Amino acid sequence: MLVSTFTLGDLYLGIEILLVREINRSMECTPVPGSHDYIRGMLNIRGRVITLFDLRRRLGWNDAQPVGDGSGNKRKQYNVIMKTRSEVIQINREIGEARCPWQDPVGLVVDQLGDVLDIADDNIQPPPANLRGIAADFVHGVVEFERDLLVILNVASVLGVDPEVA
Amino acid sequence: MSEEDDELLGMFVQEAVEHLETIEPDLLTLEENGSATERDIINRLFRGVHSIKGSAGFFGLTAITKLSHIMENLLGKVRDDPNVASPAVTDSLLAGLDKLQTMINDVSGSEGVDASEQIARIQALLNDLEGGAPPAPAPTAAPAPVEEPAEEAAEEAAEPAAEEPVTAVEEPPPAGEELVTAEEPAPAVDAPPAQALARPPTKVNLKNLEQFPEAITAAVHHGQLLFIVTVELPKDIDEKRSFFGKMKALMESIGRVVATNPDVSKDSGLHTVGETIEVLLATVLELDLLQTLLQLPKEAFAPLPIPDSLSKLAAALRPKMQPEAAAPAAVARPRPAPTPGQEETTAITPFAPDPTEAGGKRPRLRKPSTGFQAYAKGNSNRSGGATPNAAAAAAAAAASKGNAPPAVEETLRVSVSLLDELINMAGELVLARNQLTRAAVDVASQHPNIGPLVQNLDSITSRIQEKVMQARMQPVSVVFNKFPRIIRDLARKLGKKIDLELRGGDVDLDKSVIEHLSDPLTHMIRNVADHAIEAPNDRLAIGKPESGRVELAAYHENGMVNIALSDDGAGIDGNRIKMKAIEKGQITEEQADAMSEEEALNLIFLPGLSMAKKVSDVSGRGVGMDVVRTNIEKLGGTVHIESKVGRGTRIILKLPLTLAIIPAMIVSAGNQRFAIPEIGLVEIVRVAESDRSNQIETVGNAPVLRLRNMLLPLVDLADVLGIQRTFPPDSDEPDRRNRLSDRRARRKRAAAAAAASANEQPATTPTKRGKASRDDTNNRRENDDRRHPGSLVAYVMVLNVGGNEFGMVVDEVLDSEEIVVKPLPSFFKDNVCFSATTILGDGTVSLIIDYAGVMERANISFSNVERATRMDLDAERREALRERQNIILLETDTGLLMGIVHSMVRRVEKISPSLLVNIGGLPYVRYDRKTFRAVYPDQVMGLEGMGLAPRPEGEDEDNDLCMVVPNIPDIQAGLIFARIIDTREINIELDTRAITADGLFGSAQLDDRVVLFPDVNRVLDLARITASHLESRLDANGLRALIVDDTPFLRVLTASYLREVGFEIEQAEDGQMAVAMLRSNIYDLLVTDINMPLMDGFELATELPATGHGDIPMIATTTSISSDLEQRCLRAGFVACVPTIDKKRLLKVVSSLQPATDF
Repeated sequence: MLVSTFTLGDLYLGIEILLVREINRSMECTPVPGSHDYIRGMLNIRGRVITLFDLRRRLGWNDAQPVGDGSGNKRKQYNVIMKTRSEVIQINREIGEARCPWQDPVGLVVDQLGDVLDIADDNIQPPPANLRGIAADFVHGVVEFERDLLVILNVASVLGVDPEVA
Repeated sequence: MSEEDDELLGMFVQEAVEHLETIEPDLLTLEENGSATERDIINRLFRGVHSIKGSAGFFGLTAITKLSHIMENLLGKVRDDPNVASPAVTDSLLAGLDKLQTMINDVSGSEGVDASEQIARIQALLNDLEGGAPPAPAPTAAPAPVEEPAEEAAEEAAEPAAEEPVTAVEEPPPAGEELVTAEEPAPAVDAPPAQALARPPTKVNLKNLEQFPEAITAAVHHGQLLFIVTVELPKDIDEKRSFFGKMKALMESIGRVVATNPDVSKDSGLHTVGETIEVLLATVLELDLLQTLLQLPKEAFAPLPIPDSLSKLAAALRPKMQPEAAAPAAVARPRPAPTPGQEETTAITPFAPDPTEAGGKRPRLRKPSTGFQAYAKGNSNRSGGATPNAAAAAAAAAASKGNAPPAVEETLRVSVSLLDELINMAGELVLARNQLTRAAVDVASQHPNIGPLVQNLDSITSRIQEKVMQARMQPVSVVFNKFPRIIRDLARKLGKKIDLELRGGDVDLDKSVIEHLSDPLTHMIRNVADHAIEAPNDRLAIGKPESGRVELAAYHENGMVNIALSDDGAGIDGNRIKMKAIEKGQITEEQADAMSEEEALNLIFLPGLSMAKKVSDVSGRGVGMDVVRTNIEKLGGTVHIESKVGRGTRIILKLPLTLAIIPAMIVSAGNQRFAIPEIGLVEIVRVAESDRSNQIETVGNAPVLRLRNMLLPLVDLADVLGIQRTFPPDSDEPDRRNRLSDRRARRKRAAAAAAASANEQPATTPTKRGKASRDDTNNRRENDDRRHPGSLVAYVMVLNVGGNEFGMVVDEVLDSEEIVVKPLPSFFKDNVCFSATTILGDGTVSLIIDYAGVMERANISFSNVERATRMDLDAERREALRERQNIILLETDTGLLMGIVHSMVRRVEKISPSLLVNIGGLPYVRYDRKTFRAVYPDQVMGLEGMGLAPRPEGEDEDNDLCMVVPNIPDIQAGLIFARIIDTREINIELDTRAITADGLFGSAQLDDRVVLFPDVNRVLDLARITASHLESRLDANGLRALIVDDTPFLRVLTASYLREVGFEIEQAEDGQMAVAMLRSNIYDLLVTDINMPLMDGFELATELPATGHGDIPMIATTTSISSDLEQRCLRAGFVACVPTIDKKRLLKVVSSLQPATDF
């Protein structure tokens, strides 16, 4: 499958590209008082209200902001905006029903963007037990490269939506 | 199932639902009118059930087919002889209908639905009917055979009489049916037994147009041409079916398939069809166009002219059909012949024929007409293409008919999600327009014509948005129409008679409102039937008509839609509700006593309070009106109730037209913007820092706002939301002080600091906020200094939730906007404080506050607060409630600080020293064409040289003086001061001993300075300005006066006036205290302030007789007098009403009271 990759700190992460609607630079959003700390807020993208999840906080990391590049400037982050269930179903009913239980427009805030990779399903392995920095629940599978380990996210559980319910 | 089949099935469901919608009211009419029911209605019923059966058969939905078939059979009996329409029959049909509805709502599961009970019930009735009638032929008695080609063919050929041999011979069948039967080309279709599954195809002679009267009529009126199209079919049966389905759909899209040969109205039909099928098609298209569209060879089309005789007949007959169908015909072309047949015409349309002139032609025209009627509905549904005029006329006709299904305007089904998208985009368009408008201002000078262009775009955008919103509107009849049935069922169950009248069903409401209206209304209707309407006997006994009248009406009012449910039932007894509420511990007896009738009625909205005397199947479980109110308020509406015992009740729901766009106030709290819907917003109170300590107090632990003698619980929005604040490093320890003001000041600082430091602050935020914050930063020191009041302001949004008001404190009110409501993402569903989101004008997302939720979160309990306001006030609260005095602080040129109560001052003028003149040794001021005697209070009081602080010299080049004109009638004098320092609202603690002087009340400490409070009247006296007017002939020695005023200062003032003339004075702070004193002491005079907390002057006046001293003369004092108030005072039993500080008038009134002989 095609995977859109990005980094979060030292983690090399990927999301199945079919689930991704668009990616844009992080911008100021409206915080929602009283919500979980991993919800950064809401953002208007062309008339749609997008809920932004701060992936760092969602993974339980304490430093919500990526470390600066030394010059003192905070590094810009990126919003990976996901497709909604109905959008995915229009393209691929099976994947939509199985892996896209969220109905609302939603996005994940990540640090840096990577390439789009085509990965053979055979190469995707179950997450190893000693994966650091990310709970196994959030992992769909991993792909081993020579130097890196690509972690493919289970977006549904990252968003905390139960696939069964939808 | 293939996709096409899916689509077809969807169409079937939609169609079936439409049929069901008309079947139910028709059945109710049938029940009500019995044998007198118009044939139209019975035919329409029959036709509706029949269509469902037919289409269900096509899809192989045997359960639906079975049930609808047996219903159809029973309806057939009714059609043949309306006398059989007993309540048992309609009951069983309604039961069957409900089942049918269940099945159709879930078509895929319909096969699993057990309808045997309903079927058995109908079957039993059928058996009974047949027992008394001649034995019926096979189709009726057969246990619901699925396939009935004979019937199908006949129906498809639009021939109702061919359904089955007439069983009820007692009544001659209508002439029309007979006629058509006679013309029926193939009466033989009746003959084949029903069980034949694979029979030879039913041949239909398509050229015999007289079998399709409705189609021909429609064709004539729409200028359609008729063609017989020969279609070649594939061999394989499945292919055949799908090919023909597509072809038929294609044809339906350009015209109308009148009939086919062989007849293929059901599944089996195609099995038996060979390789070709003939289709009779009515369309407005010409031959060559048809050819391209259908992609059939030219030979396939055979035009079929409509015989003159038929077309004329059709034209003549149109107005005879159901009114909605009739009207277009009448308008579409001149009526060639007058039309008779009043029995069938249920409403007089504007085009209704005059029966007398029709007389002669009746026999010729009448006969076929009845036959046509069965199809009138189907026909009218397709007559949408009529001219607008005709459509309007049709609508009018339908309206005049009342409960007839509304005329159908040409419509298009659009999915709601598409509409929502459109609304979204319209909203986006509005945003883009706003941005463009702003941008256009900058370039306007270079491109002068851009202005009009933008303006044009602006108006188009607004119109688009409006229209798109309209597209979401639905008539309330969607909800209303289910109530006749509910009322009927309830009335029967409860053994009552209830007439329900529906009005204003065509009033439109937003779909989302409509959807949420059903439950509350059902609830209310149920309540009405259960306990508002009395049993028939009881009604007769008290002289009411046996049947209860219930009216459900919708109408527009003030930009809202009102839905009123009125009944002429028992009404609601406020006392009974009170007792019930006391019983349940929801209110105390004292509260109950203090309640008005209206308040008592509103108690029925308390949760858990059911007014049914006993719990019934229908209602009385204590879940009721509170749910109604909650639901309506969720919709942004309100509920009002009016009731007269024995006369009836009216409940009015006020609803917004739409939920998608609402007016809202945009406010900021804790540096974030929120939208507050205006629907429950009562007012906005601006509380300046200087007033804060006066207006905001703490009761228990909760802050309250004192607003016009009412205590309003306060909620700080930012606190409730838990908005994080970052404290500046130099701020004090982050402990929470109890005072809102302190917190506010700190938050402001924090916000300001944040705003100043955050360079990433989006540039889009309104400059207003940013600027204010920065100002605050600059003013921080000053803000903390209480000597600079008024610069810090909070706003209290007074909100009404379910009849209770509370105040929500926000930092700023930014704007009032019509906002587009967008649903709250599901991730925040458990957050009660927000109801939805919106996108503001600058494109940022904002949250819409759900203030019921905020209230819930803040844990405001109204009963507690109310109790606190009304009763059990301890001394501390008294203290807190005491009126503050607005004091003007002035400085004399000798540096004395003096305070004068604001209400004693008529005005303060700034005068140039050059205006001072000396006349006859006395100073005067010429001002505004009048001459004022100038009085230097320090000189008059002999306080010269006591200057406590030297006057600051130098910088003050402004030599202007201040003249204070006292608020005393007939006096033209002014007190001269060097300058005005401030106005303050403070609670004066007057020290009468430290500094004494004639004309001085006393002094007080304020901001470390001594302020002198002169007795203005006395000062003027001393200056010999007022000396002349009052001779001291008033002698009240030995008389006791009670002075009641919540303002200590004014109390002292009034007391001094009266003491001067000899009264012995006692004082009370408010009415309650006064009443207590009156009970134990004897007074000769009562002087009371009107405006007081706890018990005001009027209340005191009413309480007075109870103290046993009702004969004491009472004088009212007030700081703001008006003739209105004076009248009210006189009515309340006061001798007079005088301005508080007007010594002259007060004493004049007092002297008038004293019998001259005593002195």
